[in-house]
Amino acid sequence: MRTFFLYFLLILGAYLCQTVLYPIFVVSELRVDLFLVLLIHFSFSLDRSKALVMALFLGLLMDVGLPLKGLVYPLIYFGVALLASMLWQNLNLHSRRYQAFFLGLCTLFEGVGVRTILVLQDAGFAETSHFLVVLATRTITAALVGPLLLAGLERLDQWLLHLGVFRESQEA
Amino acid sequence: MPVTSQTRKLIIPILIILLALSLISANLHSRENMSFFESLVVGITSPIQKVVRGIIGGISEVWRGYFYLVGTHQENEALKRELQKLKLQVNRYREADLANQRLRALLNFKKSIATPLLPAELVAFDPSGWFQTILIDKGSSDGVAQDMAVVSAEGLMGRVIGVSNHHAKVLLILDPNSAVDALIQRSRVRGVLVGLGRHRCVLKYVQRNEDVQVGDRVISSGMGGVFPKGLLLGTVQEVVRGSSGLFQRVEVEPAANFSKLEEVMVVIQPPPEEPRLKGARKRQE
Repeated sequence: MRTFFLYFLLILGAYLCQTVLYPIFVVSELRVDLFLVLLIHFSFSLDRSKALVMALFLGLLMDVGLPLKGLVYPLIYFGVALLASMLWQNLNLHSRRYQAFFLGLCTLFEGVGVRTILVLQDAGFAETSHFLVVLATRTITAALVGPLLLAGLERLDQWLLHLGVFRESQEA
Repeated sequence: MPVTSQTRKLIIPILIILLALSLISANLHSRENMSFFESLVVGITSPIQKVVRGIIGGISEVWRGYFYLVGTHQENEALKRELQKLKLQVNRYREADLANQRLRALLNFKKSIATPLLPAELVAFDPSGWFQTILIDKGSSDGVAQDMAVVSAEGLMGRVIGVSNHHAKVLLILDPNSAVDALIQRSRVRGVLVGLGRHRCVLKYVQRNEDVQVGDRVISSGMGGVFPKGLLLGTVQEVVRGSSGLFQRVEVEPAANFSKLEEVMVVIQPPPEEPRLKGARKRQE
């Protein structure tokens, strides 16, 4: 229950950042998708099935404010979570350098995914040059900032474990 | 037969994939009204979002009230001079308006009834950053419906694309998915205003030989029935006539200030389909 409450607070914090604070303070091109970072953290630290459920939940939450038809983000996050949990076992994703690469790759995947769905839905989309600039900048920002955020989340986990708050999840 | 842990590991992801696919396909065709989940999320998070926005607003007010006062006196003097000029201009416009009313009466035009406006507050922005949508704190219980126009004091902002009981999702004119039938106010040249995904829009399908100049005001044409006629959309910032092609490229800077969005107004009007349906029914009869 405590773990659930903590995860809820984390997700709520990320959601507030994405919907209220980010659009005011952060340039769109420099945004790091906090949900993506959370999702990758969950994929590394939880069972695959739990991570996939989290992916669906975060995706549904992300989809709330979007003008797209169908549940786009659950699909994208689901793919990312599956990839992350599979690669976690097979690749050395403990390394921050690999994490940077992986976060960049996921951001790229997210951007291309959204664009592809827009094309498939015959919806309007930003000019290709502008889209590519935003995508490239976001990928680099995610690769640079993402591992720091992941490290912060790991530190938070350790701290909560030390305080005994995370006992349930560790036993699980 | 007992279920082994390996089988369970296989079954759970398959079930989750099936669940994901069913959720995706279930909601693929229509998103006119927000789903139960969306309404729930918005209902839970919007009070917190409002509080956070209030705190940020307070901080920015302090900033504007104290640190931004440098040069206010000069600005005040300049504004006073500007006000004098504008008063003269308003007087001229008032005269023109009276003349217009007289002419309309002569031509037996019906006097248009002012469309009611519903003030609403901004709750949140698009969380992904890939789109230009906002969430406002008025919904179907306040009379807001799909496709209603949303305006600010400066001009048109967008249209409602999803409604729950107490909230509505608005697609801004900056979004590439938005298209508004528009007119150049001076020359009455028509085009379609489409968002560029940043703080610019482009007026599409304007023929090369049409008269468009930098600084021209762009207004909504009223065609399509979604946006009322005559709402200010923006001003022309750049006109590019390439060496080839049928159309010229007209970049427009929106009139509304999207970076300082706080309060908006929803134009309460009946959905555009109704008159057309009535007309169709009449024709069938």
